Amino acid sequence: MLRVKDGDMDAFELLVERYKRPVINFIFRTLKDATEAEDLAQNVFVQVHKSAHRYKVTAKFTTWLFTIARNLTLNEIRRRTRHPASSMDAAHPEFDDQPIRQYEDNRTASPPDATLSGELEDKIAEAVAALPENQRTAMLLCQQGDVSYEDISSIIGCTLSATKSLIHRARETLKQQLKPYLRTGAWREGAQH
Amino acid sequence: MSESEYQKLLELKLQRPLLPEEQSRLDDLVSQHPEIRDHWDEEMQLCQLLNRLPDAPISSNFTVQTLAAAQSESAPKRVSDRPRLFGWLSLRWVQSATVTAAAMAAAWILYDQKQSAGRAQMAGELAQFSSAALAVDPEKADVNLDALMNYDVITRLENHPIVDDDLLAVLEQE
Repeated sequence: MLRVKDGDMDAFELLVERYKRPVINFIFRTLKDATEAEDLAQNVFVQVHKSAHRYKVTAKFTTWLFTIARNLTLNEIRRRTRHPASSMDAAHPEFDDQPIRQYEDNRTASPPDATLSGELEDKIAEAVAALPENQRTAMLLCQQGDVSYEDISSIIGCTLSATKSLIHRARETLKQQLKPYLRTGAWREGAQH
Repeated sequence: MSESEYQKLLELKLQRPLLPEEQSRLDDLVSQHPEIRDHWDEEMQLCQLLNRLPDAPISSNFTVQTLAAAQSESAPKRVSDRPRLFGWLSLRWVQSATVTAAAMAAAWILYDQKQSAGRAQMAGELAQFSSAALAVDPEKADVNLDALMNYDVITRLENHPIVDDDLLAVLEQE
């Protein structure tokens, strides 16, 4: 990040490559829209680049990064509640028959397993998206694994004990929502593939 | 005591794998309090479920587009980089104020010139009028000259007819 502060674009590129997945996932699991998640994630990194001159070594980069990501996501949620819009696939500006973005299809499961796997993943995603924002943010950041409880509390602006309480409540809610899958062990069968 | 210790171990487990001494401490707790086992299993099952959260698809040119966007954002000069006078007054503001003042001065000069030209034209026309009046009635030149020099009198003369006292006296005698 210090190199980015000095204007090193190669360093910035490394930063983007390293953190694009967690940032996009974080936004995607709130907005449930892959295109919006990418656009917002791009704005996050642009904001990081613009504000690089203000970065201090004492601040942890992931805390700063996810604070920006959370703020932009919250802005988008507020904008959506004020101006609900219908989603549509954006066409390429030059070629009408091609999408503006091309994604690789990494799914390799056979059709029956794919159905079960897809249904379970949809249920999990729905349950997470249905959580209150602060619980979901705290739980997702905790799930990341490389963000400490102290950093999570800085990002969401709560005390440490309040943050742990949010995570606990989120997990209790999810356990209730996903109880049928926990009991049947469907997660075990899906995990084998 | 064991509950708070269990909570601490669970919090650690949610963030990273337990160290061997932490795992053995957990095993001791579970053996002493079997009800903890069910809760721990449920928590671990939820962890595995959450690991199945689908990843968002990322377009292959995301990084390239992001770099381009960042570079285009940083191309224009930032406000904080603009040169300032006295530490606060922006040079750009001074330049704008100077241009505005120059435009206003030019407009005032043009207006003043127009006014002066109008007055000069009016004076010329008055001079011509007085010359013409002198040519028509030289005997009344002094009176007309005084009247012509007094513009207000001229305008009153235009609105009200002149009273001919001599003619009036003649008519009264009749």
